[in-house]
Amino acid sequence: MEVEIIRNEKQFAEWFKFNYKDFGFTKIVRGDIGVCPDFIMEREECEVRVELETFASNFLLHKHSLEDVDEIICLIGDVELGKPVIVAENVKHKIPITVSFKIDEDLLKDAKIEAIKNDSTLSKYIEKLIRGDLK
Amino acid sequence: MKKKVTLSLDDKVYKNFQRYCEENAIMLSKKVEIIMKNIMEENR
Repeated sequence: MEVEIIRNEKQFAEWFKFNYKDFGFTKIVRGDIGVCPDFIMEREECEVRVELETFASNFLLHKHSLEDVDEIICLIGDVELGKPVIVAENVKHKIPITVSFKIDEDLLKDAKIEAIKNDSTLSKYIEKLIRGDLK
Repeated sequence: MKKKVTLSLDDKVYKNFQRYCEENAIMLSKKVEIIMKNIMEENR
């Protein structure tokens, strides 16, 4: 299955299975079995341990060890990791970013009510407000 | 009282918003509050 717009790491892994040659790999030695590294690949007859992340910084968030990988392939290279971080270019993606704000409690309560009234989540509702304000 | 809220936002929207706040020397949280306050007042 090829994915047109990648929205999460699982879809990124699916996309990678069809597009690994773009990164100079010749074959998949071991696929994703839910442990780090996600893939063991072959390039120039050498095994390369690859971890896929949407944001490179998720490698830290997921508490992976750099000793377990040779390369990190990501959609958004937002951090340096001490191992090669390769950004998959020309991939359509829509990955939400998680951010924290400190908001007045009463305002937050009102926003939650408005989000429910608009049949939306708080994140989507505030995103819409920000988007509208930036216009 | 302030309350910490974690949101999941479109990265392009967030980056534009972050750039806007940096260029205008506004704290992101404060700007979110102002936007919310304006909308709540409009809705009243």
